[in-house]
Amino acid sequence: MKTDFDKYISDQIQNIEENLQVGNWEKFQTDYARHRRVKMVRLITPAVAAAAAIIVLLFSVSNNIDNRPLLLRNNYPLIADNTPTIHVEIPALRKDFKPLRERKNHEPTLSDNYFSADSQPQIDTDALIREKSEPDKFEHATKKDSIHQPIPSYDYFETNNATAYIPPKDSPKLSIGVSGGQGLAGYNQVDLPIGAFQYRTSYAEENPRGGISHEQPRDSILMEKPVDNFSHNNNIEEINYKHRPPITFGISLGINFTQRLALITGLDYSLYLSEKVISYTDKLSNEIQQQQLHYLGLPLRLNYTIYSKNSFEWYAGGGVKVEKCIYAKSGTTVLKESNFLLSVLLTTGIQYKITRNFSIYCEPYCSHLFSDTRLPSYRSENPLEISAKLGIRVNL
Amino acid sequence: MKDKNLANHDALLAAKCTKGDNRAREQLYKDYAARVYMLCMRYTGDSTLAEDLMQDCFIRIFDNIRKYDSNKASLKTWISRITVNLLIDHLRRNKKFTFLSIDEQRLDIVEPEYNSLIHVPQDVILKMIADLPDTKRTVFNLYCLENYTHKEIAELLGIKEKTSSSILYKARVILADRVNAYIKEKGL
Repeated sequence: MKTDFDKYISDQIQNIEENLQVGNWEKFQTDYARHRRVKMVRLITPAVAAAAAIIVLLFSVSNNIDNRPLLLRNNYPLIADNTPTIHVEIPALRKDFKPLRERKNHEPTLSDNYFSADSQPQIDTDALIREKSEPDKFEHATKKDSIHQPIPSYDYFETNNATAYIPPKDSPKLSIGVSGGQGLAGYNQVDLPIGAFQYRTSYAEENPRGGISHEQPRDSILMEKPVDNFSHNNNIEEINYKHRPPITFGISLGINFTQRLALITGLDYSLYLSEKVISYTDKLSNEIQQQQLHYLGLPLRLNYTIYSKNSFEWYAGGGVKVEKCIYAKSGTTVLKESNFLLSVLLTTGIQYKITRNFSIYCEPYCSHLFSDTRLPSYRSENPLEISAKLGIRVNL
Repeated sequence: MKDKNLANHDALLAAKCTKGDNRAREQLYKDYAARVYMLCMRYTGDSTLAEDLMQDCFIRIFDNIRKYDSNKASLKTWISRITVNLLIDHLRRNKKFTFLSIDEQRLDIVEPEYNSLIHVPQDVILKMIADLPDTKRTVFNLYCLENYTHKEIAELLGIKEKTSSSILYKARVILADRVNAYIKEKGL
């Protein structure tokens, strides 16, 4: 209820702005135009990125469909007369590196798929010309022998720039990875006024879901003990935080849509450690407490292979990650936060295949936290975080 | 009648601003710059910061002007609300709030005499308000000058109503002390 004093003060300064000359319209116009440009870029960039991603996805999928090999029994690709582009080239290839006389009636075996180029005879161009001038004979031979043709090696086509149909590499459809990583930046020291900490914790206590409520929080939260042991202590002068970069471990599951495009998801665990130094007005020595925040996260991102040669692969990707604090402890006080944290990830990585199904990878990434977190940590002070992961990946 | 004319004027000005009419924007800016600046000044107590925040406020105002409904509130009220919200965000972001010691022992207010108070210059009162600690200044401004209820303040700042009431009481005590000291010093 307003007192007389409030009314006096209010009356006294109510119309104080009436004769005030402030503001610079010209400067504001410039600022506003700049703001609108920035806003436009912020709106357009994700739209363009999304459109580009869709185009890449559609292109990759359609490319994959066009190149899908036709299969015969035992899943051996048919590259003889069923493929439109094979009409001229196949006889030469068949004749040159799979001699018919030697291999007639030979059922294809798995090893036939991996003939090395060196073991194949050279292409006989005269034979090629002769066969091209005798289409009937050629067609007959092709149809007759197609089933019995051993499959030319993939390497042969690749290294000799053959124009014949190239079956896609037999890429794994799934991959499972295990990784560990750490933030790349150093310590982060923050001097926090006591009020800010109190505000954070009390706000989180009042509003476990970030909303505003006067009711008792449903999951009654925040603290198992009252706000903090020291927060009601008026002798606290200052609280300083030294935040360490996070340590992360994770398992991941990759689903390859195409040879280049993969969806990566999984489960990440992150540990944020901080050192809290409390200075008191009535004590000479400071009190040091350790703070631990444990998060579980669910990443979802798309990876695109930019370059691949032999066993090396370079890829980049982007996506989002949702995280939840599963346990938080500051000194002896247990804290909880019900908010889900949303961050955007951008990553690039190098993968080396040790064997056909086993790879190691190194993956630097940056993430930007968009949600507001009430618990002070390295990330709450630095929403943009740069880290690196090392891991192994099993391709199934 | 006057209210209706004002509502029409506000609605017309807002509609023109929505359409991107630069003259309308200029008029709105010049009409309300002083009001917005004084709000910023009262909440921050820093003239340079108040000028910067005033520009931010107008950016937010022009970004949201299409949402203005002249049937619900006057343009002045709507602009004041936007400004106050922005100022609260600013103070919160910069960790200016302190909600400690809510159970402190209550102090007695020695309210100055009205006849003396009316002789205290406006800028002196403004300076006294500006010199209040951030949280107390914010709650005092919201309650006494913007006519927010404690419930609204509690929602806005994420605190309990009781805390808001306690902070307001302490702000009054400090302010009354300063006014009394000024009156005594100047012999008003």
